Amino acid sequence: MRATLALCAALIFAAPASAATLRGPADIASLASAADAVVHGKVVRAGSDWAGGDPHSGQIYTRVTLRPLSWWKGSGPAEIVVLVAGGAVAGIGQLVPGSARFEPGEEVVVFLRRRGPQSLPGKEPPVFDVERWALGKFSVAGGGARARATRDRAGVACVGCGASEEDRLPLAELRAQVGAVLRKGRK
Amino acid sequence: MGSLRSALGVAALASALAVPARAFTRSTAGPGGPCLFWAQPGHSFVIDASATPDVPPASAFDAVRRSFATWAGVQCAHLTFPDQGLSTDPANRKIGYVPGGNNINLVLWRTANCSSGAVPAGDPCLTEGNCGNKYDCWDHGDSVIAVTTTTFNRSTGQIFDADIELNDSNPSGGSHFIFTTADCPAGSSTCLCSGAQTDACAHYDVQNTVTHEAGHSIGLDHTTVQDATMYAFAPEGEESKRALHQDDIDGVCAIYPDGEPTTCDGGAVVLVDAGPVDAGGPAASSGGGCASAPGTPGSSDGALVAVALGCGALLARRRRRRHPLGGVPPG
Repeated sequence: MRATLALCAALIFAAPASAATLRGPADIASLASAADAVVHGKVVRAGSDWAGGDPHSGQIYTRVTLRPLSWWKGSGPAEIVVLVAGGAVAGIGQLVPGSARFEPGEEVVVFLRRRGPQSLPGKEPPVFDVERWALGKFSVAGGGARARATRDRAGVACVGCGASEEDRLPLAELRAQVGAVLRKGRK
Repeated sequence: MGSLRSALGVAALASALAVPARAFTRSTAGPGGPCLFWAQPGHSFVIDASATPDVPPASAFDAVRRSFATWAGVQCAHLTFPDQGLSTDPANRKIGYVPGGNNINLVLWRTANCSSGAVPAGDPCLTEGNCGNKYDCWDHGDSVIAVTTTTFNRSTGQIFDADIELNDSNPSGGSHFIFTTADCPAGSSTCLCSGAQTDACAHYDVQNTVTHEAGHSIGLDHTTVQDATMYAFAPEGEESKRALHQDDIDGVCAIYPDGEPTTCDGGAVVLVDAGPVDAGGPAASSGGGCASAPGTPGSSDGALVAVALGCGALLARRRRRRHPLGGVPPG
């Protein structure tokens, strides 16, 4: 009976995944070398608005505030902002498939690219893009030694991505791979 | 045990009847949101006249037109893509949607790179977004080849605007994408140029890329069918996505069936003129632009209904067996 119910639930709730076209590869090593920063952190909040608060900009962005638990590459303040194309304002939604998606409370590892030379008056947190969009974000689930990092490629069309690229691996393994790239880069 | 088998049989049969094998996926207004669709099947498009310096402009324009014509040629759908010509006004080189504004569905190449000097240091767009529109530059990172930005009514899924941007900019540290329009040799669907070769070979084929992106602009997401235009992976030099696979055809015909109303998850779209949406957008359906009718073959709602029916039958049988009095549990 339980198995039958589980089968039914799986069939009913299995939703098809929902594009930007990117050039690969998107393996951990290439992401780590290309990124300005690699952060393991937690999403504090996420909110969408027209760029600059102006509907005449035509573009909606989602600002994701991230609290780094640790910086695997680079360093920075206690909070940073990740700017993601797309979002929703009142009755209007804007879809930019391939953008990384974040949920408040989500634990993530993100490969970040600094958005140009910013002037940061006061205590404004630095603003980043996600390197290679959704391919540069891993979601972390589970704790301690069992923590695993998972990447969702749903919205991305990739030219030149390799079949051997890992989308699900232990968090410790992900960190080790990033660390190996950084050590190699310092030699 | 017999009842278990028969109920599972009901579920399997109903599911099989409702869902022919298919893999296409419709874009949605976020997780759990309505699927995206154009109220009128298809959409107009404007090509920015600057095109790409990689190929003669006329061949780039033809490639874009052929991309939309490919989708318009699907017999079981009824899509039209009115070509509104070339735009020569730099002020039109803007992506996105302005509520109440004069919006066009634009196809353009960006040749400047926002990360390589096109944006002054400290400009607010670096922290707020929109550098691409403000400085006419590519603002999506050096690895991204093409992006479709779709704006829609959040509650109904009705699309207002779809723009396709192609990255022809020179990144600071890497090589830029070379767009091509030449045909592969007959019988080949992939023909990566080697060395200085430019004839009968491809790098990033315009028609291959735009046909895929145009699929997004009409409401299709990625499929799991590897030979389909809407498949998410492609090698450089590929041209096979110029032609639609049956899965792409099934997808577009599920949304825009010929002679029938546009559908959303199997239900006919019900458009109700209810004035502007609250952010100042155009008239949109308040009564549920994506109203669901009973499931139809090939629809995900149809699948849901079928599975739910089968499972319901199974559970009802089990419940009746345990509680012969119409399933009322003992008090």
